[in-house]
Amino acid sequence: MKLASVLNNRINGNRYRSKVMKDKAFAVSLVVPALIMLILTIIIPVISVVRMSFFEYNLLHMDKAPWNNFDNYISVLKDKEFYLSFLRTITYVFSTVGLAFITGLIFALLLNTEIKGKNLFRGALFLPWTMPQVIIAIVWMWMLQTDYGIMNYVLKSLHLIQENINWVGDPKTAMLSVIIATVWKQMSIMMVIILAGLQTVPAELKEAALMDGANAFQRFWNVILPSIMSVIKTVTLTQIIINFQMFGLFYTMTGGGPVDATSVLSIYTHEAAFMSFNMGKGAAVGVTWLLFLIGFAALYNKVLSRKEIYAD
Amino acid sequence: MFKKSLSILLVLVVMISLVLVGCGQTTEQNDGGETDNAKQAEDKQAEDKQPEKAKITMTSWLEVEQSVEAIFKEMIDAFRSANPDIEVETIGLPFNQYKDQLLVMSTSGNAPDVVMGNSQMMVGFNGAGILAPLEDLISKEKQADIFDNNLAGGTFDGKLVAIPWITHPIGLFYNKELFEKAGLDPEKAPETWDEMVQAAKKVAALKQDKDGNRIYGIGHSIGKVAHAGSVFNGIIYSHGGHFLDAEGKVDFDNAGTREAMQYIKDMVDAGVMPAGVNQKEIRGLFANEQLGIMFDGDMGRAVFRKLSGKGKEFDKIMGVALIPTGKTGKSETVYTEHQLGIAKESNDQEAAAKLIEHLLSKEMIVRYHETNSVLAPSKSIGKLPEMNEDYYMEVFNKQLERARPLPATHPMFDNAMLEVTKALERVSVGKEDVDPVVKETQQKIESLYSK
Repeated sequence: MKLASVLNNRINGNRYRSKVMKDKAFAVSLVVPALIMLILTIIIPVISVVRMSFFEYNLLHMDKAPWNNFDNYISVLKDKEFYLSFLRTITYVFSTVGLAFITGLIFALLLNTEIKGKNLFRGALFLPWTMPQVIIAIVWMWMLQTDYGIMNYVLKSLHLIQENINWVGDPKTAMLSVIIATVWKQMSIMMVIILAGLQTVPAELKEAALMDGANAFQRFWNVILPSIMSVIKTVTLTQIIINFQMFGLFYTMTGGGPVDATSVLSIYTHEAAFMSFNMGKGAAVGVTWLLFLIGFAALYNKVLSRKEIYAD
Repeated sequence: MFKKSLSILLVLVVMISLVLVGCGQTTEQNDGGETDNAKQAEDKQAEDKQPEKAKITMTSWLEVEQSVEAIFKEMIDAFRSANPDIEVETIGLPFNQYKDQLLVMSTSGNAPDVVMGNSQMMVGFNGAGILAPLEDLISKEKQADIFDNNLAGGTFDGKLVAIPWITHPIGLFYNKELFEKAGLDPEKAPETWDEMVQAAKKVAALKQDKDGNRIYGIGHSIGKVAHAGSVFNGIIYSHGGHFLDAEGKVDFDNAGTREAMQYIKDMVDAGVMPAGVNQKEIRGLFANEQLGIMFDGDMGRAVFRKLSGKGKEFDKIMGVALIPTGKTGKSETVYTEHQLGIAKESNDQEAAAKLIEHLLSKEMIVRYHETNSVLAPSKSIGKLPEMNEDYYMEVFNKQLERARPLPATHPMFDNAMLEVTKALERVSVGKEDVDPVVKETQQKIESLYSK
């Protein structure tokens, strides 16, 4: 009897182990293709760039690429222009994400109410996101052109300015011009994602706040905002990372000028890698930039996670 | 359990589909029966008997640019018809990424056989060791037919590595209507630099057109891109300056350069010239009849016809002339150029040379001229009546004889020109003094060239 029970247990155990093994194999077979893609498109290139940053990689003599005793990093960290580019990048990223977030949130809140033609507005407002960066850059360059651009025409007609503003050509306004073009494009995606988040806020939470006598601002601040914090965290972090890498708008609209006023990290890296043919230094800038972003993303996640609330 | 089964089912469906796609091709081939099989065998035998085709590749930005895409295809097709033994594959890369992509391609062992580039790019490609010497690959007659000035632009360390193909000398354009309104003779272009400055000031004094748009006297590309720095060399020459000294060393900090910079600063400060603009914006202003005078290449006419929306009607108000004589007593200008080279790595340099000679031939150049009004730096072709069909082309052919090549002797030339553009921005939009800016720019370029 005892032996039968032991055998039975063993058989059941073997069956269980076999099922677990099968499940594991199935899980692995599902993960492997994604893993291979990840290795080929992200891991290997990142490792190559990190490796490249320690060697003297020059496009003019790629046949020899000797180890150069951290010279690329020393050269980057000693370069005043690197810090200035970094500061310009920070200014651009936070202004852009901040403005796009505020405008996106306002439109999302409006579209979350029962207004007429909601779908039409949503479609129209999402349109800029579907346009390629180069097109957006060209459109805004024309609109901001000093002498025949519509922006100066409108501002002059409203008597807001006396003289035409050289938006893209003046170091004082060039960065603002790129920020305006970026916000116009990115506000749409912020709006759509925040709107999706708003639609998941449980109605009972809002009703409870209403019954407790909370006014509109209190309901927004204490109920809605914390409920969509995970969405806000994801969308803003994604936009911060996208804008840190922004190259197209700067390259097309200003080329980093005038007088380096819009020379952000991506332009600085391009100049180091391709204009100066120094791929090693370009890679070192990229790695420094990557480390900053990893640290920033971790901190950002930690800080914003504290503000989240969960409906369940 | 259901999800798992569904996933397995989907994977199976995909796998079966792949297998079916693979079999489908075989089945399709087999469908024709024995007759087709016999025909295929015959074809294969015939193919085997033919000598193996030479295969060459050529990179350019022409086939990805709307204005030249068709003529480029026509020229390549003509080569294919005349040379059935050579297979040509063309690779189109956008102009803005051309230099970067070609450097990466070539230095990683994938160089094209025929490389097209402009003078600024070719010096970089040569520095990267991509280009092969052409003296023994291109016929002596072709080489002798090219203007010495132009040939020198593709010669580095005494070796010809880039052969000039199409050239764009910079000339002067002016708006006849604005000249007339400003009290100037619309049929008489300024002949000296001083006359040009005075004319520009008079046009700028008109201030606004009837729609309230600002009118400028003269416009130069002085912002954003290295190209602005490159064409500024012509203005430096007009002021008796230079970028390189007689020994070929960088000598940007000289009296002529300072005078040229001061000219830009004065004109911007006086409101005669728009600040911080590139050539595209200058063209827009000229086509919009808001600009009295500008410098541009021979492609200008086609550009203004299109931008103005007036087509050939615009020719009536557009005057064209040689660049006014400056300090040297000559009409000084530069030309930009499309050049052709052969990669050192090319497996079939002879076939590549054949393609280059085809593109340099009279028939192709004349055809290219018919469609896009281009000029060739060729002694024999430049004189042909087909290439001088009107006054406009005559002026540009004359300007070409007087134009100098860009001083692109170092792989970092493009970088140096970007520094020159930044210097122009500093004195024009940044309102800085000329002397320290020129001094600092000299140091920066020296540092770039020493690397």
